[in-house]
Amino acid sequence: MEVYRLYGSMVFATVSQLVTNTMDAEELMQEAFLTAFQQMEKLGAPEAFGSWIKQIAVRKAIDHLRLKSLVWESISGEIPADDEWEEEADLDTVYESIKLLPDGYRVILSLYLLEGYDHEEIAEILQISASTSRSQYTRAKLKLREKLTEVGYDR
Amino acid sequence: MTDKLKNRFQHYQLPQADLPEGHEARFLNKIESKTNQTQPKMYTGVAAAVAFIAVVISLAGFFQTSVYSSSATVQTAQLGQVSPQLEEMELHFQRQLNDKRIEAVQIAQQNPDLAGFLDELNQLEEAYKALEKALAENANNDRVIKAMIDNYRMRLEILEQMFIYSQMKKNPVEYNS
Repeated sequence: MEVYRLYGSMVFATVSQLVTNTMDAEELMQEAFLTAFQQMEKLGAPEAFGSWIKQIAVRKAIDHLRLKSLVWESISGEIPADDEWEEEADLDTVYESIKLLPDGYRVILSLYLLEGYDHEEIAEILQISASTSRSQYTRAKLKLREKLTEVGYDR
Repeated sequence: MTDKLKNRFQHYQLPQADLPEGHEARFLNKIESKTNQTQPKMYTGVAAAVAFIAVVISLAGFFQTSVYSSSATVQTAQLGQVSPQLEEMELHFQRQLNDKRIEAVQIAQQNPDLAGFLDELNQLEEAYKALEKALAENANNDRVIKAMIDNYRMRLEILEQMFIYSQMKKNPVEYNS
């Protein structure tokens, strides 16, 4: 249980970013730990446990969302073409706004921005091409900009 | 082209997420339920059988504490000493148990999750030793004789059950279809 106590909160934060329902997030986080415990022999270096269990949790969350089928929503309304907001927007507000986006956009922004995956890795996780990951990320950022405007960011 | 937002998020500390209340208890329940699914159900009658043997010994008038003591003065008697029929029966049981036990030890070495069957076998073997001492003190006591025969049968049943679980692990499709 020590490992669970040590890493539980971190894994839960990652899963909660992908799956917004708290009960689902807890379920997936705990399933990730059970999988990790059952496959401990696959973990080469004990110090890598943190990143390893996060990977397991991310994949479980994606599988969960895939069951609900990820939907890529189209952009509506006029979106400013500038990217100054990317340098200036308050990151806490951006973080909270990502949570409000539809599954597909939320997932790609979370994986790319918050979890630090590159497009090749995201392509592998989501079973899409890297170019699709890039284009969806661009669209997701536009959607995020739209959402920021909705929550009061006015640049 | 560098992504400004990604660059900024590289140094961003994700807010701490508060785990829902009671999550640890739910996790423990989950572990328990998973364990129950993966661990084969052992022969649940062993504890009851061992307790029953203690009662039988007690009813047979043999002082229970001495049965489980390691005193060298306590004599033992074999089932085969009671009658030729019981001797034949005992030989039959012993032959079967000896053969199956060797196989069971090998299975337990390859499948540690099945080692619990051997633990139960050991418990019954210990209980049997107590019955041998009780028989020495109470020759021809029907309850003791019956408890000894039942003990042999139960040991064989446990081994059979262990072999079935072992086969199920090897050929899950065959056993689940």
